Amino acid sequence: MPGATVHHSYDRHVRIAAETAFGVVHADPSWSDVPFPAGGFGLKATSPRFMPPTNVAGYRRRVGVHHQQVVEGSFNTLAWPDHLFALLTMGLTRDGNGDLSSYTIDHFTPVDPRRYLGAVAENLTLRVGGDGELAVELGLRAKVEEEANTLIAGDFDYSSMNLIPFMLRDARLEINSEHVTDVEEFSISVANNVAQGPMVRTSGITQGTVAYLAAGRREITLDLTKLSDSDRFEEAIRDGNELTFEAVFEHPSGHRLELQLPLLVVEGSDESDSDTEPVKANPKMVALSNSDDDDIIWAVDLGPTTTTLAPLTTTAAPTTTTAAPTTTTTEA
Amino acid sequence: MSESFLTTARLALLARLQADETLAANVRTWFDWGPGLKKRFNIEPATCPLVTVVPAELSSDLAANVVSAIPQDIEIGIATAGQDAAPSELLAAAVLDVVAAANADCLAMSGDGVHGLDVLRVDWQAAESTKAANYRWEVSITIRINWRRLAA
Repeated sequence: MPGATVHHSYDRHVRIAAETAFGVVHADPSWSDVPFPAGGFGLKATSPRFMPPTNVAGYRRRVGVHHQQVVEGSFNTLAWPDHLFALLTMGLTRDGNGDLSSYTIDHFTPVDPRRYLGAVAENLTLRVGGDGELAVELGLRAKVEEEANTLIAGDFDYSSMNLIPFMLRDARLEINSEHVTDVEEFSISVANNVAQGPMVRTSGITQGTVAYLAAGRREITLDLTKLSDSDRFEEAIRDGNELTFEAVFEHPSGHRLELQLPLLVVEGSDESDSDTEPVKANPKMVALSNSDDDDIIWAVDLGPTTTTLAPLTTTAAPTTTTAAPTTTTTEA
Repeated sequence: MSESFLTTARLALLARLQADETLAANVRTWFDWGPGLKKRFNIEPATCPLVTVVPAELSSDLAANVVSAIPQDIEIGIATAGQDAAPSELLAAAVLDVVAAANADCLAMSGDGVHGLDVLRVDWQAAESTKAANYRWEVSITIRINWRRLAA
């Protein structure tokens, strides 16, 4: 329609910053301006109205009460080295009480800039598949969506980030400390089992907002697709053996990502067989905590020249990192 | 005039090829399509073995809201005199080895946005020569340099 105000996916931007209190923008936010593919940002408010079956107006519905927002949706992006630490922290790092941190997320659209307060990662999935790029998928739930009319496109800066995500081609994968080279796809899924609190009135907001979003028991699963070349998974199923998994990504620019699942049990393993392809195994594994209370161990390092993303795991420390391991990122 | 990222990558690939021992020892003419006076691009026995590296095709798509995926296709041409195909195969194999090594380290340009090289096509053709009694072999190798760049 000529003359219409239109914009495209590439006109939209997203930035994320940790909050110090649930639903409160940090006084000096440290924004991660995260690129995302078309359709990648799905966090949005909905308005599930109260619709009583009153029959007051006959067959026409007359009553529909707007009394709350429900803010949920996904954020799908790629494992850009400069932002991966922030995204993994969002989905994995718990505080001393086992809670996740909450985040402020700005979603710039030219016609309706929005701010999400109190966003929490319900789910995190790291997936590498056919195109070889490591994808990050966050399932989000937030306290409230607000207008952010002062937000402009110029608030977003991508000039210093590395535009090549971590990729499978740069990964070394190990199962039970044995190097495997035939993994075509894998995904690590983390469910934080976030419980949403009741709707409460908040000063300055006309409708109710979520009182709290509390993280529950963490469930981590690993799905693999690889050649069926041994009885490793079947034996683990039959005998209840435990496995380990490790993925180390060495980015061509010297960055490093390390993921470890130190104790896995195999619940089942599908086997695909066809006329045209070798038989493949698709084991489904569940992570448990090991004796160190680690169910997942991870590290991101922006080496070799910068050390801005310091926190690394305390086990299996990367050998090429330029940033000394300082803190553990796992907890019970 | 400043050099574009496309030229930088093409010349980086050319430099890798010229540094290869097999190619350096066997190639007589490097047709580099560089600046200066017009050069004769004649594929004759006296100039063979000849290698030329030229731009072939380019496209662009969005990998993310601010990230362009740019496949830069480059054609590497090889010509060897005589109807024996073996010299052309020797040089083609050397080129493929160089490309594999360049793929492994992203041409040392990952910081600029290169995230790998692919071999798209390798074609052989026996061609008649006007100045020789026998054939020559022409090999066309199409290489793709995969870029991620900030969208304009």
